[in-house]
Amino acid sequence: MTEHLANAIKAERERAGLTQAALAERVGVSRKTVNTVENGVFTPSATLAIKLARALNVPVEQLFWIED
Amino acid sequence: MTSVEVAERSARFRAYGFLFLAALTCAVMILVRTGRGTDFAQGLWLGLLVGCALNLLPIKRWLRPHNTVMQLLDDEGTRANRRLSCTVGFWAAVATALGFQLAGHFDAAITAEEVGQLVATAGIVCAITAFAILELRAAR
Repeated sequence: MTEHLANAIKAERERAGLTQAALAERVGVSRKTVNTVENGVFTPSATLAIKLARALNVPVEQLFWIED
Repeated sequence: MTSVEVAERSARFRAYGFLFLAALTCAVMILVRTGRGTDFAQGLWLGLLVGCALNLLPIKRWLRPHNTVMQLLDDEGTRANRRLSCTVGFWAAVATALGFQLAGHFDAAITAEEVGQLVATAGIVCAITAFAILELRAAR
């Protein structure tokens, strides 16, 4: 069974009216890191996941969940 | 221009620079190995290889740890790309070394200097190329 960390960053980011660069600025990472996390290419650390959730003003479990 | 935009531009420039460095290192190594290389070419190859290897380390971040752009140029995503590219380089070096080990069975006349040069070049060039590709792909 392969587990995959899914996310709702794009939807929440667009709801907040933010670009990837603006979100990156808020979180303190580069735009490419936001891009790779958003596209599921890179699994973020717990620290980055919490920072992203805080920046988008949503609970972290609403932003990330495990998909089988 | 925001720090994120400056970091984005610098990261892209760094990735293209790495691809150029990798190509130049290979070209100089071919020059040396085909016998047209002088002592200068040998020295240039060694200098390029050491330069490439040092570029795989976050030296700028170590030198300027509080600079925002340097922090963005070595953030979590970049560190993951660096780790992965070093793994690629390691396996490329191992595969090249094993290739020479196999070639040794067929009485190939290979000197220790040639083996060292090719194994080091394969490892470093593959690592730096992988890093550049991962960075450019992430920046799409």
